[in-house]
Formats: sequence, C-alpha cells, structure tokens
Amino acid sequence: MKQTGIFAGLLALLLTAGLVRADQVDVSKLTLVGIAEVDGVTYASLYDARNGEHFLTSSKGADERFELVGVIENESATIRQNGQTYLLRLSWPAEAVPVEAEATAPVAQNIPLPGSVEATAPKPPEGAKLPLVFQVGNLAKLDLSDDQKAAITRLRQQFVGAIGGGSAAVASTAVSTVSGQDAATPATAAASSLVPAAAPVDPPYQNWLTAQEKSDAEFTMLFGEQAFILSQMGAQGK
Amino acid sequence: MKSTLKTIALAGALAGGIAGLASANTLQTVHIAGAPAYRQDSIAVINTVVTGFSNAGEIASTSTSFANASAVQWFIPNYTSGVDLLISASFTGSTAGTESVAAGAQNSGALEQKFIPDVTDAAGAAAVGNANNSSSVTISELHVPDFSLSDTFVATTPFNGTVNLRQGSTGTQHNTYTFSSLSSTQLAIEPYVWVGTPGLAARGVTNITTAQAQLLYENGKLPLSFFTGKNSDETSFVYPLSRDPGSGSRLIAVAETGVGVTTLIKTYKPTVTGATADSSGNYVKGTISGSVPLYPAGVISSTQIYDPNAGDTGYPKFGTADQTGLLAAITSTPTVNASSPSTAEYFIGYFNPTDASEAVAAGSEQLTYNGTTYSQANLAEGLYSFWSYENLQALPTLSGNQLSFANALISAWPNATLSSGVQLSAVNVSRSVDGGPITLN
Repeated sequence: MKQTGIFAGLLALLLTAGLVRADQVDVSKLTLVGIAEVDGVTYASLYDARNGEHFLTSSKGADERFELVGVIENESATIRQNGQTYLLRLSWPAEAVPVEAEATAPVAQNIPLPGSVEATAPKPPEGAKLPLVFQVGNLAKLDLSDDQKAAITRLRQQFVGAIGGGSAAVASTAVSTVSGQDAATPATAAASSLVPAAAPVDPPYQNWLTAQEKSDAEFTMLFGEQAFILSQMGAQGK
Repeated sequence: MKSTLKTIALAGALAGGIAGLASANTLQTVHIAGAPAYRQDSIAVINTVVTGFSNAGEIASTSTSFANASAVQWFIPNYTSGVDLLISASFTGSTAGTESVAAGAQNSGALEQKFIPDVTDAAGAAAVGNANNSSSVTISELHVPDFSLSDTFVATTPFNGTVNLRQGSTGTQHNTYTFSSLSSTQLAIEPYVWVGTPGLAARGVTNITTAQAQLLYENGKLPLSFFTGKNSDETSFVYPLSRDPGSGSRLIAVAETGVGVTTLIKTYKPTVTGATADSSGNYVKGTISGSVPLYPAGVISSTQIYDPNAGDTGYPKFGTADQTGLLAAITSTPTVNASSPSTAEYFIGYFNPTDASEAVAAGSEQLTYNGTTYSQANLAEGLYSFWSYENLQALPTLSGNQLSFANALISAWPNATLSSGVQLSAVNVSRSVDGGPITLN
C-alpha cells in the first residue's frame, strides 16, 4: 500500500465511514489532497474548501459521478466528470484545469498551478523587495496566455522554494532553475561530470537578493518588454 | 572419447573462424540530440573523442561535409571489453533535444527524435574509413536521446514540469507530458551574430540595436528608415527571419533582445529561386521574388508541437539542399525597384559565427550588434552580449557506456579547438539566465 500526503489517516477514516457520494459536486472546485493504492485499486482524496467536505474516488469508481482516469504518484490525478477531463495537482488549494477544452490554446500550454499571489507572496526582509513576478497582480485578471500564466506560477514557486522558508538549502536552490539542475555559475560550469556542484550557503538576506535577481532576470527573459507592463499593471491593481 | 575430443576441437576451430570474420562484441548505441548552432564544434569534439580509439571513426552523415552535417554517425570497436559503440548524433534543434531527453518514452515515445538508422555491428566496423557522407542519407529512425547538447538553460524552454502540448497536424490534440529534471553541465559558450541580405550595407545598414531587433521580431517588418533615419527609406522594408521554436538559437535571440521567450513573434519565409549548392552542399545565392509571406503555421517537426500562429514558426534548419533553407533566404538577392521612391525588401537573421561565415561567403552581410563587432575579446570582457552557454543535458539516471561517453565529451571539451564556440576559460564574464545580466567573474 502506497500513500501520499495527508491521505493515510483520511483514507482510513473514509474507508470506515463508506464513500461519500459525489452527486452535484463540481470537480473543478476541488483540491486533490491525497493519492493511494490499496490492493491494486488507486484512490484519490478530494477536498472541497468551500464546505469542508471530503470525497474519495477510485479506479473502480463505478457508482460515482466522477471517474478517476489516472494518477501520477506524488503529483496529480486526472478525473473525468460529465465527459470533461480535469487535471488536479496534489495539495494545491484552488482550481482544476480542463485538459481538453482550450480551442485556442497556445503552442505549449502548461497546466496552470493554482494559488493566488496574495496568498503565497513571501514577506521580504527589511530593505529587500518582492521580485517582479509577485508584483503582477492577480493572474486571472491579466490578458495572458495559459502558458504565460503557468510560467508566472512556476517562477513564483521557484522563488518561494529558493528562499526556502529558512531551510539550509536556500542558497543552492537560489541559483538553480525550477528543474534545480541548470548549471548557472562558473562554479558549476567547472564541474567535471554531469552532477552539478552545489553553491555555497549565503546569509538569508543575501539569499533573498540572489534569488530576487535571478527571478527578475528570468521574468524578463520569459516576458521581455511585457515584464515591465505586467509589473505596472500589478502596481495599479489591475 | 576420442570422437568427443575431435568434435570439440572442430567446434573450436569453427568458432575461431567466425570470430575472424565478425566481431563477437555486443553493439551499444549512444544517441545525441541537440543544437544545430553548435553542431560544428559538437561534431569536432565527438570526432576527437571517437578517433582516440583504435580503428574508430565517422561512418555516415547527411552532408557531403560531415563536419557541418545535421546528423552524423561514428563507430568505436572495443569501446569497453566486449562492447562496440555506435555514436549517433542528430542536431534537429536545441530546444527539441531538451524536450526529448526530459520527456523520455512517455506517450509511446511521441517526443523522440529522428536519427540516421542504426547500423549493425558488422556494418559499422566495415564503414570506418569508408563513410557514406551524402544528402541522400536521411534521418528516419526514432529514438529517445541519451543526452542533448543545448544552447539554453532548461528553464528557458517550455519543458519544465507537467505541460500540455498542442499536437497533431491541425493542432487539435492536447497531450499532457511530465518533463523530468535534467542534469546540466556547461561545455562552452556559443556566440551569435546578426546577418543581413546582400545590399543592406549599401543602404547604410551595418548595425542592429537591441531596440531595433525587438521591434523587428515583435512587429514583423520595419521600414528601412528605422535603421537609416532617412525619409527616402520609408518605402523599403526589413523583414526578420528566424529558426523555428525547436531551436535554442531562437530562444536566445528573443531572450537577448528583450522580446521574451513566451512572446509571439512575426517572421517570414520569402520565395527563393535559382539558389545553388555551396561547398557544404547548402543552397545559396538565389533570387527573392514576389510578396513576402509570414512563415506558415504548422507542426514544428523537431518538437512535434503545433504552432497555430503564422510567423511564430520559422525555418526548421539552417542549410538545406533546396531553395527552402534559411541560408538560401539570407544569401539571396532581394527585390529592389529603383523607381522613385525606391522600394526594396531586405532580411535579417541570427546565426552562429561559422554559419554566418558561410552566409557571408555567399554574399550576406554581417552586422554589428549595438555598435559592437563580434569577437572573442569583446565577448570575453562583456562588451558583446549575444551569446549563451552550451550545455550537456541528461537525465540524472544516465548510466553505463552512455554516461561514460558523455563524461568523455565533458572532459575533452576544455581542450578542444572550437570553430564557433568559445571556451569557458577564455571568458571573464558570466550570466545565470539566458539573455540576462552579465557580470564580471
């Protein structure tokens, strides 16, 4: 039996209480909080933050209004409801994304990772500034393609990961990309094998500045002159 | 008992005879994808490593000059004990290489790259010293690359995490892929230069600024007067040419100029006639005629992603053995009407220095960038900013002789004589983001 996230206790509770019916539930409003496999059956645990209800769906799923199509362990679940397929990422708290609905989808459409700027923007240390990517305001209100929104979300996550909430690994992630693997400095360039060298650990304030500079540079790399416009829109609350 | 011994002796003699005819070794393969802009140096370094082994060498390529080919194969007998190694490189695009390595065999290998078909052990051994270098050699066999040689950081590409790609001949398929993180090692630096069609200098255009390049690629064509400041040039136009989104050079160009890698661009595909093959087999020096259409929307062959935006696509290759290549377009004589007011259509594109030299040899004109001529010295001190790192990217799980060969390349690179690239040790500046700020080391 493999379990992920907070799902272990929840699964036991739900299995004891019986499956909660999913009638009238809008999958797009649910949060995926756990994935598990029990005796060859895959289960996904879903949470409705609006009313605090939990739902359980499985790869058997015959009596449910929504169907668990597949999962990627530790990552996501694909769920179908009324013919519409949704991809829900594990533990993220807001929206699901219709996988096949975008008639005018861009070339490479990332699955937007939910979460609002306001909820996730870290507080800068005294004398430091928020990176540009946190100044663009509410993504839902911006006239951006889905892949651009996804890039913003990814960059925000990357910065939050880089400053690490005080973790000791702050500096090494601060000079890495979202993949955590790009050799970004002459120090890593000198590596003689495929395993990149770790960067030295800096004090927290310096970590923030290093991560902010990299984040701002990547933001500009991704959006070009739009970067300035986006940050101005954010400053004006649009 | 005697009979049994004879049988054994006979069997041994037969086995010895067979071994003399063909290798008893196991054949393993290393498939390398990646960067056309860095292909000449990549081919040179791979060739150096390969020819360090006895009886090893190049066996096939897609061009009469394998040093400049888009796909090459080498064969190394006895790479390790009992193992012969077939090295197959296919440089379809830097970004495409990153995509394929990070995607692996997902969705039945839908993002694999095309290579020259693998040969048998015996055929490989026989071809050393008798290579088949010809445009009739094609890439047609799909493989997941073991590693890629990339012009960009992984973060510059769209292939991070879970991505929904628009695919199919009409773009109606939306397929989800999860791209693995890649280990990356910097090998060298790849510079790029701006090149214009013949006749631009005569009209007074010998330089392009960051702002001009940004306008050019975002807006499409620009009046020539934007480059010359002359009122009489308002009726002539400059059009941008570009590689397609599978190209790392393209990502670097739009990052460097402040366009942004997620911004749609407008580039063109002029009609060329009368081009002929140069010494590398690439067609050059034709004539451009007719209206100048946006590069058509469609599937990017190297990435298998559908791009619905005409103009945002671009050339799949630098040089081709027909009239449709980027090299043919940039070297061809543009349409010029001498009547008053004069009208003319010129083109500008970006190339690595080696490809730029090939274009200039066919009549194109190399431009300075922000007033600076490309030179290694100008790049080394931060004066010239149009460059990127060349990276070897692989899954962290790469192992065996494929990992061994990758590390052999990494070890060989700093000692190689590069034609297009610049050694890391020769440069006193660095950057951590493609197109980003340059700092003194």
